[in-house]
Amino acid sequence: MADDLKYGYKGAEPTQSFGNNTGVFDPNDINNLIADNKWTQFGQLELIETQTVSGVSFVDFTSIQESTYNVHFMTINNIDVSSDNADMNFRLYESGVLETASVYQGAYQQQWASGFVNENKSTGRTFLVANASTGNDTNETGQSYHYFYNLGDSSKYSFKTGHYLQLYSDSTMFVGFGSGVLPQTSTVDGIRLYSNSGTFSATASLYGIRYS
Amino acid sequence: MATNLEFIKSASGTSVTSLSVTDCFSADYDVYYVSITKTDVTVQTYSYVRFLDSGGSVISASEYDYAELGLLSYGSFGENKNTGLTAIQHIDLSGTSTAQGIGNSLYIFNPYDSSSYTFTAGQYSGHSSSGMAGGKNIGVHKSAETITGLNYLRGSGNFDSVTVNVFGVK
Repeated sequence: MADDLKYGYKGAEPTQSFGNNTGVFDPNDINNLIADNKWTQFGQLELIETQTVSGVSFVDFTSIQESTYNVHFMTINNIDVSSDNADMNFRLYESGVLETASVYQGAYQQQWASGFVNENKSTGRTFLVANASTGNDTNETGQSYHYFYNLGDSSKYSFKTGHYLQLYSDSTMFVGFGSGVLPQTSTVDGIRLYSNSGTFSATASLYGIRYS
Repeated sequence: MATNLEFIKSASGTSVTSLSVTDCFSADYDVYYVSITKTDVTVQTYSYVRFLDSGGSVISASEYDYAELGLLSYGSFGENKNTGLTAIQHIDLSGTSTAQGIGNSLYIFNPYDSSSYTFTAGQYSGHSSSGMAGGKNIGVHKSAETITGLNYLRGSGNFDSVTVNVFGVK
């Protein structure tokens, strides 16, 4: 940017921030303000990464920009598992180390189209729930969305809420929704999506919600 | 231009009984997303939400209904519900440790439409002294009027610190 004409002003410079940009801007100014997260541009649901995988037992998101986003949002589509009624789960990386101990907690209400209802809950799991038992016949797939909170805040636990649906091995649709937590004050810098049995195919997209 | 979420406003407070986010609703959006990820509270209990009328005053009349399915990692799930309240209750739950609060995604529908009630649908994950406490909730403000903002409060005690962020959904 022009040192003697920052955003069209001489003397005292106006404070620049989201929703409060003042001055005359050239393309370089705008690029610099975008880089500094001070330029007003809408579209705060920001795609971080989409991964489409096939025949894998896990997929990792390791560049989640946890210092930028307080809330992450993930969609998982067309989950196709090789083992009948396999579960899809999450584990979190804390400063690059995958947490595999029985420290996760969760509570999910599950309901089958046939009428069966159950409570899926635990105070000591090795995972957070992504999708539950999915059949492996043709068209027996799973889908879900999830919010993750405070992953990059080492003063807070890492929370999750979500909603999932799939077809069970008898092709009955069932749905689950609920919450989870990694009750440790750590910096979470990665998310692993994995199957507890066999391999899977899926498309998973991770978004960050800026200013959340 | 379709731009998905659009950041509108953030509000923060320390040592407060409630936090208002003023003038965050407008004719520009019908649906709003509210993220609450930073709370530190003095009493382990639920949070509530109320709305601000066209003059910016908190609506505390008995015009709110809510229903929630409470989801506990350590106990039975429970239905919480009531009508004719002075706030939409059970928006979230957290304990008194700083680490325990919170993850809350709350959607608000039609607040600025003077011909419609204002509806909410939310999900949260918190932590009490016993373990994870989450929930899925719905609420309504049963008065057709223009709502300009929201008021986030505790069922008991104060916020040592709190931040609420409001987005428009395009």
